[in-house]
Amino acid sequence: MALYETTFPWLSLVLFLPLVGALGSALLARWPAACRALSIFASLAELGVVAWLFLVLRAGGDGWLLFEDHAWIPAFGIRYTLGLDGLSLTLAVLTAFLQLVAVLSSLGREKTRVGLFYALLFAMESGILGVFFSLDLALFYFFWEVMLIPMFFLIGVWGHERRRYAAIKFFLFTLIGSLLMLLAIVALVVLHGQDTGQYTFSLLALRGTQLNDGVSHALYFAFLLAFIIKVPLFPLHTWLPDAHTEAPTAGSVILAGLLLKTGVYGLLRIGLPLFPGPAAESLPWLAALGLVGLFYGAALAFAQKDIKRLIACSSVAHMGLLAVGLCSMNAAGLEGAVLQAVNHGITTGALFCMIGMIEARSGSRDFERLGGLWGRAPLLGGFFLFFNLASMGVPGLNNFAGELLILIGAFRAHPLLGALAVGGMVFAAAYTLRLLQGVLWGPPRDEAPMADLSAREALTLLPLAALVLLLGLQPGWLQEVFRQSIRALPLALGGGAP
Amino acid sequence: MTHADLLGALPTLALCAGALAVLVLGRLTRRRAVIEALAMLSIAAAALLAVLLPELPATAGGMFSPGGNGRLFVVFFSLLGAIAILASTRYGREHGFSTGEYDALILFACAGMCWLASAASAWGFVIGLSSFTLALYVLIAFARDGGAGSEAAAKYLSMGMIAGGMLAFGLALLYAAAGTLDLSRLASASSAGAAPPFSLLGMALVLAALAFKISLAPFHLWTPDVYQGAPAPVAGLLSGGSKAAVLAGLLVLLPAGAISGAVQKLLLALAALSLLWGTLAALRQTDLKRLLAYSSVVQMGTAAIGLLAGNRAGAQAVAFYLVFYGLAAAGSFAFLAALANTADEPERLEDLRGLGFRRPLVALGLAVCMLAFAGIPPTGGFFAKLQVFAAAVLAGQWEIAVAGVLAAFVSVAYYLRVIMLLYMSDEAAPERPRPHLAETLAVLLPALLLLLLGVAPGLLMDWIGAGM
Repeated sequence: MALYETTFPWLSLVLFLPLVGALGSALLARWPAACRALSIFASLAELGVVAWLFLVLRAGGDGWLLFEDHAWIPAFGIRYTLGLDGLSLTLAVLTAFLQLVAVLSSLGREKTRVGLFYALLFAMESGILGVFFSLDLALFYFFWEVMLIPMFFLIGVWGHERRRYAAIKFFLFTLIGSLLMLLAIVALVVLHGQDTGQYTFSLLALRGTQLNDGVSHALYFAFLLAFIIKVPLFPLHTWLPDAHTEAPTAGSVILAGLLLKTGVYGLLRIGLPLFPGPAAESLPWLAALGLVGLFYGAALAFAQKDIKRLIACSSVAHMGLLAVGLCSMNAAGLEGAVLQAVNHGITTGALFCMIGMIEARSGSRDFERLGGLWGRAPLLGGFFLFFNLASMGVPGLNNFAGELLILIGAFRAHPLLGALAVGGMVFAAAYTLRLLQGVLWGPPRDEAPMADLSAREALTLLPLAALVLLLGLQPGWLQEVFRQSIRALPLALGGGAP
Repeated sequence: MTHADLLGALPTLALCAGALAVLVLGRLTRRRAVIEALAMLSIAAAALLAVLLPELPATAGGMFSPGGNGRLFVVFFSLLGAIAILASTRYGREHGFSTGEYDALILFACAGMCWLASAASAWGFVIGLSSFTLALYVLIAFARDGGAGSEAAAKYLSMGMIAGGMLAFGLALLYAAAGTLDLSRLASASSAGAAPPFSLLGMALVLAALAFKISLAPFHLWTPDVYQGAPAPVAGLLSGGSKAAVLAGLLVLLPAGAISGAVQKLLLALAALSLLWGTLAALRQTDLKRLLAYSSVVQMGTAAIGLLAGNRAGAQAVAFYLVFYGLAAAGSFAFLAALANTADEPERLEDLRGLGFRRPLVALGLAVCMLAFAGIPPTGGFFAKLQVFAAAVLAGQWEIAVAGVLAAFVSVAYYLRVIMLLYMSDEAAPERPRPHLAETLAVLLPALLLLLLGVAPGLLMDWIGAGM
């Protein structure tokens, strides 16, 4: 396949196709049915293009599979540079897939201002894909902030009771990190320019910048802050439970499935490679924060009464473990972290979908008022059990493979790190079992009959379940796609924490 | 006056001729639409002339320079004038603005702003500044039905008088020290080693006078009251246009490399104080006009960071900044005008509740302006702030750049509050009139331009760069 030499702007197509969906949806706002149809069609089309690229390019090896470079703001040395390697390809497929899930999950749920809802959802997708493709720091930052606005509105307009608080908290938390990163980007560009005479925002060019020790630590810290707020790592995670709980179902799916991954991606693609020295020094600290997050998130999850908030808090734990994998800085740990980024997106996305379905039926997300789901809606209960087992890391299902790789990586980096991480995972079993016990079994709290899964709902969950199985039984299939790209990242492999 | 000077003056002359024609026509017909059409026509003519005229060499010794970025600013101020006229179509009728005079004054104000922006000598500077200030005095008090306008005009007038006096005295001192009225050489002559000490006093007086005009703290105290008292379309011109014009004038007065020593310290103090004071005050406002007033203090403080950098990047950043700022301010006040009824404007923040869905187009316009003010992409505000901070970092002025970034961060809190009231309120504010096409255009036009500047900022950057 001669796709590598193609001049057709595939990446721009993937990037802007959702915007067409957004525009169409906004224009059709008067006709909700048409909006929904268009949204399904647009997300299917996007997934089609991305999946086709994935199938064609997945054996493409290292280097850039697709690359685009055009002048954007010449006066400032800012270029429109997009690049696709195995890592961004993997995350792009996840994005397009979860977008479809988000659209499907909201079909019966969102009944107000449908046009605007889908317009924002698609604008969001463009922003996320832009983050995964950008190889120019100004362009990257542009998309990085563009992601904020649609999510702010999705939470604030369609969210639950405390939506306004959650929306502004989400916005301000992520923005403070971003703004400091912007200043660091500018500083890096200026220092690089004064050094070489060439003012450029190109990520690849800036990697070679010579910086003195103090400056590179300060700049790295600014980048790091922006990324670990997004991941999020303890103690910067406090925006997450609020945002995820208050967001509408589709928003929670995108938040947990994709937005958190932009932080991981930022670390891998930009933060760690740009400042290798300070990055290596920071790994033990980051691993420690990850471990604390693993335990703390699990404890938080265990203490929740609201099942949506429970899942939200469990994300803190999952992302903590993912950070441990990242910090072990060896092939197993890094591959496990990326695999886990995908797995967490799938299982947590599925769980948020299901909580939306449960809430729609029982009108509550509270343990006190739930129970006996298994007997009343066996199909719903079955899927809920399945995704929870996956999230817990049961062998044969997707999370197991990722977590195992992370643990191998952690043990190789330092036995203590691995041992602590295993300990943390036991907690995951605790809150998951409590969730299953409270929702599935026990006596039902009300006598009203409960409808089982509708065809549309089953159709939303089936592809997710298929992926859980596929990635659980055959994780190597996906691993091959990003393995080379991770090796190609200029990371000091083997110099891991602690 | 050379041939080139005359050619260069053509666009502003078109504005003045239009103003005179509008005045005469206002005696002949009472039909507002005709008068407004004529006013818009002269604005279009001015903008078109500015675009079409060939590149002109800058001449020495003239009052106004036909070169530089003068032509860009003619287009820009014409646009602001057009927005003000569009925004006051219904507003003017319902508030009984006398036909003719109102539109003529807006055209005169625009011409004055163009003059200030293209001033080459101290004469031109004073003439430009005085002519639009004079027009604005009258415009602020134009509503005959209320005392608030007169009070605001009186406040603006008394402050303006003081500022005008300080400016004249300061320029006189600078002239005495430098021996020239050439605007671009005044600053460097005053900061040269051999300059007499009174030249520094002159520069300080000039800076203080201009700080009055662009509301840099602590000279901003008039701003909230005047915005609140002035009719919304006029407040838009006052906030967007006059501040942008003075910034453009400052670019000539303080060219790259001319700012140093005590002048720099003075400007730094003004900028830092504006960022702090404006931010703290804006957070507490419950009135959109007062919020915009204090936010303009912060915005001008940020623009001053670009001036402080004292490099070419800083000058270009300020030019970009004033365009973005002028558009966002004009759009915000056009929103207030579009939803005004005969009794009041929706300026209390609670008046905004739920408007996002009941008046979607103008609310969207306001939301874009707020995002632009906050510096969030994809709006021009992002690139304006990026350029300013980049210029400061380039000049090694880290502290003020960090202060600017922090002010921008906190500013998001009060700008988002407006957006949240528009879109995320549980209950709705009382009904407001449905905006007309012209009014909707007055809000959407700046919003669309801000979005355009957010995705293709190079268009404006190249234009600015070519003029410097």
